[in-house]
Amino acid sequence: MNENLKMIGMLTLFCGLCGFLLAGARTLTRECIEDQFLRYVEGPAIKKVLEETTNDPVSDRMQIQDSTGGATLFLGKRGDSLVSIACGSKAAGFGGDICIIVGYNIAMDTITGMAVTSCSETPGIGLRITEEAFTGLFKGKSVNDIMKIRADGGVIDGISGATVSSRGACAAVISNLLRYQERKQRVLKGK
Amino acid sequence: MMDLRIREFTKGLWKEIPPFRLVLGLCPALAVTKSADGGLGMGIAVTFVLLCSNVLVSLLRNVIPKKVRIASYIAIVATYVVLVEMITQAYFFPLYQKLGIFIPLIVVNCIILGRAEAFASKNPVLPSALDGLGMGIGYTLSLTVLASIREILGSGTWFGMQVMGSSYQPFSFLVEAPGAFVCLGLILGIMNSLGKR
Repeated sequence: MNENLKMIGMLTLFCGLCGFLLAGARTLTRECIEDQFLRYVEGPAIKKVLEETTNDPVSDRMQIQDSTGGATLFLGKRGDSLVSIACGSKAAGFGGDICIIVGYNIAMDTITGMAVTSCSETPGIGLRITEEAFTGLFKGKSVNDIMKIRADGGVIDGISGATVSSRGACAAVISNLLRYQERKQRVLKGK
Repeated sequence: MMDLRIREFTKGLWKEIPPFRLVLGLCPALAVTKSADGGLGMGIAVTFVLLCSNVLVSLLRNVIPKKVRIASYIAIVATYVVLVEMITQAYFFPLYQKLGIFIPLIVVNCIILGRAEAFASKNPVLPSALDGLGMGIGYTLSLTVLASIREILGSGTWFGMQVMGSSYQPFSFLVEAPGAFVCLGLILGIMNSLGKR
């Protein structure tokens, strides 16, 4: 009995200490990791969804407060005039959250592009939502279109065999769209 | 005494060099050696974990109850691996993207648990540190050599630099998964025939 208690105690102590150490390391590196993520993953994705801009949307970003709390908007400009905005959102997929970036043309109220920044979908099946063949489907669609897969009565061709992932990606786009008008107004007012 | 110390260190470099002599830790050796920088990066990550875990296991060898030692070693190794993952993510992001899932998988790399169980749990701190460092450097060398052969012949580059002339037709079989097995097998064969003499 005494031996058992000792084993349990030691293991608990070890795991506790390890967890404590890792939590500390996480706090120290979090900011740096976010920076790197912005530079290597989100940056290229933002440039892709906001085509034909002359500025660097990553450095021209602004924080706004909306009904859901804070959000970061990336502004695409041509010359001095604001033409497009991009923002991120996420929804549950098959293997975890699907994080995406959606770009909007604010004059036409259309989607200029969509890109997946991180997800843990099954390679070869759900991971196909990251491919141009799927993300390209959102391009040029109006913000008033129903961004659901055709099986659910929407305008997007889902990937066969990856319905859950396709639905997840669509749900992320819908949650992004819901806040688009409000965010657009705030950006225009802020100018 | 000094001789013994040196032997603890150098055995990992040739006599028991992983993975060619000590055929352990093959999964990353096959998976990340498509390019020389991937092999080198993986080797350095493993060296760090191996050195730190050997030192800590050796320090705690009289404290850890025998029956739960494996679980304790895994907790220690996993902590260091997550630390490495955070560091590569924070400071070497392109490397992190390249190695991806294979960084967390260092936890289950047999070399690390193998050295903890076979060496560090029975020896004082300094020999354990030397053992870990030697094994780690040996592993790094092996991976870099394997990756260099595959990258140079398979894509005509080395650390991303063009080394073969533009007329060279890359032997792309070598950068595919089966090429890793063939390449590793050939090196193992060469090492064995060298060792027999």
